[in-house]
Amino acid sequence: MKVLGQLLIWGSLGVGALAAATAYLASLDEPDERLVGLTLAAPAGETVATEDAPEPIARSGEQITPETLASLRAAGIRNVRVNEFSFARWRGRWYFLSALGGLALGAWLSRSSPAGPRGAGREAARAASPKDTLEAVQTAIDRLRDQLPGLPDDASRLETVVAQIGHLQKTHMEAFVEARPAVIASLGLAGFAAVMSSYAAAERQINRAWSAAVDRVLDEALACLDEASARLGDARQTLC
Amino acid sequence: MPPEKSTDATTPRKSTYRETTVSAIVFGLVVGAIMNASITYAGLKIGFTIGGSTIAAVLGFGVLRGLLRRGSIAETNIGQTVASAVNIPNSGIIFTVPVLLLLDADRYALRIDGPLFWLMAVACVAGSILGCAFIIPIRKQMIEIDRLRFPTGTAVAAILKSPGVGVAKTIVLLSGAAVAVLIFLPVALPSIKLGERPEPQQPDVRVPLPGYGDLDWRLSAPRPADPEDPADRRRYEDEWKRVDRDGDGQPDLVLEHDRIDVGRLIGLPDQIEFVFAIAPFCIGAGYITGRAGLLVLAGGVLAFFVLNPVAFAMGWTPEHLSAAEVPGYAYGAFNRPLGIGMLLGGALMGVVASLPSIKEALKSLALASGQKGGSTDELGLGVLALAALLALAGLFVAADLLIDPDGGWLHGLNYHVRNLIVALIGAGWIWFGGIIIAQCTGMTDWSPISGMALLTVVLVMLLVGSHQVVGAVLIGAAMCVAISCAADMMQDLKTGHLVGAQPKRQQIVELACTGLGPFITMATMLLIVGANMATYQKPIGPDTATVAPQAQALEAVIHSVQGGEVPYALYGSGAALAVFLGLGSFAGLGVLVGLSMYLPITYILTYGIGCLLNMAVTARKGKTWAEEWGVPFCAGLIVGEAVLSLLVNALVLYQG
Repeated sequence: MKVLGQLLIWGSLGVGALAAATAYLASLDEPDERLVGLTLAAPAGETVATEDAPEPIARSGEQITPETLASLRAAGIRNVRVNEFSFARWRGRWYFLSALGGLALGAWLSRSSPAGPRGAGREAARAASPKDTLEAVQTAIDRLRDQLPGLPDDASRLETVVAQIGHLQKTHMEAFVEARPAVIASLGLAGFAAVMSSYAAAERQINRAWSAAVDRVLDEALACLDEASARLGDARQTLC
Repeated sequence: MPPEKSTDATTPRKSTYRETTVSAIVFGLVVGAIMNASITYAGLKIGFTIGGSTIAAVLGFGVLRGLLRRGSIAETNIGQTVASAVNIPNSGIIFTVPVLLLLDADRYALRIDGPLFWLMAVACVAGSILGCAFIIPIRKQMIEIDRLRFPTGTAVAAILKSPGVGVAKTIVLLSGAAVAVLIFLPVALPSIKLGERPEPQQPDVRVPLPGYGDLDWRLSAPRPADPEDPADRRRYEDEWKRVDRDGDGQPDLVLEHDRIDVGRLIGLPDQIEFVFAIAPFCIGAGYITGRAGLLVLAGGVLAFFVLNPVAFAMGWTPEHLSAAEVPGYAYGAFNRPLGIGMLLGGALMGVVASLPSIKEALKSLALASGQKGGSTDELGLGVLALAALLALAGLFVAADLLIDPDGGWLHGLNYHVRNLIVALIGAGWIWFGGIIIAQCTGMTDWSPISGMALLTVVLVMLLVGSHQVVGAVLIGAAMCVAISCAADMMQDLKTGHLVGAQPKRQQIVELACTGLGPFITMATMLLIVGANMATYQKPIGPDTATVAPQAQALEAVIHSVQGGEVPYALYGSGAALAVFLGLGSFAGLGVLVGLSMYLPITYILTYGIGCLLNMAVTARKGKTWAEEWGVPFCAGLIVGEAVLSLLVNALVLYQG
């Protein structure tokens, strides 16, 4: 159903765009009174001039007259592009409206089909629920905070911060971001926004801790880890 | 840098992390001013500009970290934020203001002692502040909730983080930059002209350095005709017309200075344009965007591979046009107006779909602003409202002194009330446009600024009368500067998020410094106009060194409005298609599709290569590897092209 919906959407878009492209085309099959007085938006028809380069029968900006119409029809021209739009004259209008209907139907089909099974993640973190993933992030941060005082010197603390945060950014943190559809499904958009507000604040503190550690400013890295843990707690509360 | 000494690892200490420092701000102002001047000249010459964040980040390393030996990642981030804030207003100004000189150089002369120069500058400063102030509350939505990619912002973060990711990844980043320079050098070289043509009849023409186009890789000539057979002679003549479009007697080049015409090489029909730009930046941006960027390609496919061939086959294009001329005609006749309409409709759907989240974000902002002693991640609503009011006042004063509306939809109202309405509508339009551009930039790295300028000019001319060109350009310039600044601010905030910067500090420095940019651009334009008058007796445009191609396009639009030729039905149809397209699972899909209908296919195709490359690398090596190694390399591609462009622009400026 979802595939059908997508096919309908893209097909309808193509049809709609093609129909829209004819909005300013006036068919020369129309009665003269509908065409005379309109202004050409592009040159129409061609005759072979003496220099061998084709010249248009009627130039852009000219008003259509009965004589122009006769010349164009005699040359076998079927359409001309004009400046004035008329819904009644627009030959593609029903295709366009059908395309809008197709887009709406395709959207309904896409939305109403059940979500497919998620592809298996390459890492265990990706298969966990958002709550578990968030807990894993907080556990990793808290474990790091507990580990640092036991290290021999500031240089090793800084290296540990860089290494462990780097690993965390590539695993659990990325997995939580990818769990967005699941969080929206359970909390709605407003709830998701509330969770992400706290999570993103924590994420920024974690990123800042990494940067501070690279720049050898340990106190900043420690303060950021403390703040990150607090914000992660807020995110977990909101998620629960 | 040796680690700071500690006495007790568990006791909290006062932070000494360098971030918003005098050296970072001074660096940003100086680099930003230099970039602004050189890119203003280049933009007037060739029609496009560069943002400058990547260049500023690289220079920041050299100056703050290398020379001064104390720049931190956060400090370098502030430096690049200030530099790009000062540089970026030039995009909006060079697309709009020069049109006045093209329309009537005497009536709209820009002089340092004239009011037009200063009022335009004030309007652009107002635009820059409004653009920043309006987009700040949307930061949370776009960066934290929607997690938009902002490829350039991500690339800049990769540059800033390079000291900590290990030597290997830094080498990968530099390799990407080197590859970009190697690929892009033959594209950039022809802009540099050295020496004089040794022909007595053209003694003053300087010879460009060689580029790809001098490799002489051409289509094959048709096989000779049988002189006795008239049908074969006709076949021969038709084939010659196909391979020699410029009529110089030789088959056309397949590989030109900046592009490769794959379509003609593989024998596609002439009405199908399948040309790739030689642009490493596009590949890098496409890779960083990833699979989602294929949606951008979809619009280009629709326009250039469906609409154009069908229009040609069905006889919807003028009969005198050859198949090869169809893409160019179709672009102006229906692809661009449809694309712009889709941009608007898609953005509207995106905003509507995001309203619940935007509401939550604004509520938390207001709550944090109201808490006593409470800290907040960003500038409070009060500060932003004050900045916006001051900027709006500036916009109104400029409009009131320049616009004398006596026609249009506002005809009949009091003079000042009309101009106040224009300023308010302009500000509202700036708000909406900023969201559109920030969304586009966030999703794809492309900014359809000229399309928004075009719409703004049309809107204002409808409001106040089609002959009120100055007013239309005034609001148009403010609008373009605003949306440029909005997009740049979001890129910088994305970078900041990835390196852990405090958004409030970035926002403060950007708001404080962005107003300088318009004055630098306007002053540079004055110098260029003066030089052109002395050399060519014309201020700008064709037959001068600075042809201002974007302003020429705007001039054509103004003439269209004055002649009653605006394709409203196409704008409306595009918007309707995008609104219905947005009913599916992705509300803002119309923005992506419309964007690529509106942009040149050459860059979209190259961008698509980057997206496909990301998918191929992910399939083969896994997502983590593709991100860890691919992003730094592609950041290098973006940096390499940007740095080389700037160097060439500076050289061209020096040559004059």
